[in-house]
Amino acid sequence: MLLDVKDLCKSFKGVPVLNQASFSVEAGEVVSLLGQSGAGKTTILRCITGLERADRGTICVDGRYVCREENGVTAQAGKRELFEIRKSLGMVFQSYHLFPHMPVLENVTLALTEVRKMPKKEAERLALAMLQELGLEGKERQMPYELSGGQKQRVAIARACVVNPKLLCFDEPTAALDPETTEEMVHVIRRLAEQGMGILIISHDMPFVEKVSDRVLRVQAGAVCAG
Amino acid sequence: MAYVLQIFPQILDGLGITFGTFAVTLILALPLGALISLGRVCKNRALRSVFGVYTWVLRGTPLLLQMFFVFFGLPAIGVQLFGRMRLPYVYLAFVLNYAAYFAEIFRSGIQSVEKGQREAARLLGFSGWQMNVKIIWPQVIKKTLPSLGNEVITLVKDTSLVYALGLSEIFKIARSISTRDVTIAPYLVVGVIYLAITAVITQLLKMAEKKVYYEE
Repeated sequence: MLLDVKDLCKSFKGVPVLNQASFSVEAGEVVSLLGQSGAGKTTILRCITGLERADRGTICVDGRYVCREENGVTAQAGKRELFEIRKSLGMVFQSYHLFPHMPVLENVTLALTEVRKMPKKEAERLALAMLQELGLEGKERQMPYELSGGQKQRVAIARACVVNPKLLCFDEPTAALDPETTEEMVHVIRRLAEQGMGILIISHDMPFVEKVSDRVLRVQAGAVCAG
Repeated sequence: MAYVLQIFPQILDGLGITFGTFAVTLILALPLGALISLGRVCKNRALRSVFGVYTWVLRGTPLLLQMFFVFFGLPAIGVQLFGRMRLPYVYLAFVLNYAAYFAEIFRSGIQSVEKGQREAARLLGFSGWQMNVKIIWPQVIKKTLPSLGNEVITLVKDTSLVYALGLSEIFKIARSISTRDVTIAPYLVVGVIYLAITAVITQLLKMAEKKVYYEE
């Protein structure tokens, strides 16, 4: 199992947000978490990626534990372990969060050259192939502000995918897209899943998740149930 | 005109101290300010408070007072840093003062970089150092350059304060000549020199702003 979440609990200032949320994602599977605003969807994603610490529960990504509950005690992954776990994770944010001061190509290659210490030429070759696959050929020298919302999102996908994650998480991927671009996004995500990547989508866009997902789960009052 | 040409070389004698104070302050206060700004935004509350008090005191009291404190106050409490030399005390006071102003400018720049970019970088595996060097500081420099430019120009003019410790920079020399010859012409000459220096710096800042500019 690529992602296994068990009995995840999280509260903010005493207000419970997640209440024993449990679900899993297999490699090559597209799973969507559907729910209203404030249901706890984004918190689940932030706990999986280690951006928030879960209060209780177990999160296992590709055999490594972000947190693990045993005998009523939840142990959190250390900095080093989190770094290793994040090598298997990719995340596409709702607002993309591209680096505005560098062109598209550098946005995509930066993690390869800085974190993975890959030679620049090789990183650029990989990034250009990824951009081409996502329909962004010819955009590599453009700055993020010169791109449309859909293009920015595809750059964010390229940036997350170029490091070859096993699990790719999307936070509200269609929130700022028009219907045509949303349709394109369905194809992009399906293609990534066909390549063996596990995909976890957080959304409240029912028509989109029904089209793109293998399984749709509902998040209600901090718990995950079958859709 | 002949009179101006006659006093001009005398006034230029003080340019070394003016430029020296300006350059030393800029070279040392910028990195010190950057370090303090990191302390102002770090997770450690105690460290944040210490640097908060530092910037409050240094920005809340006049530079002249700080110069006197460093030059007269420190030796009075037994801290002999530079013996009888005056210039290093001036440098110290200027660097400590300007570092506080630069720190606040940098802090606002750091905090204006959206949190999501840091999170994206963390998920991509960037260390704190890599994130600062490659993602945060290039944006901080772009965002803060206009405010830094203001401070740099103020610094040029503030160098005239060193006369208070008896050092002969251009303003002090002009004042001496003015008293000796009973004329305000030396002040006009010194005003033109300050204008010329700030004009050059303004142009350099404009070029720098153009170089780091990008649309957001």
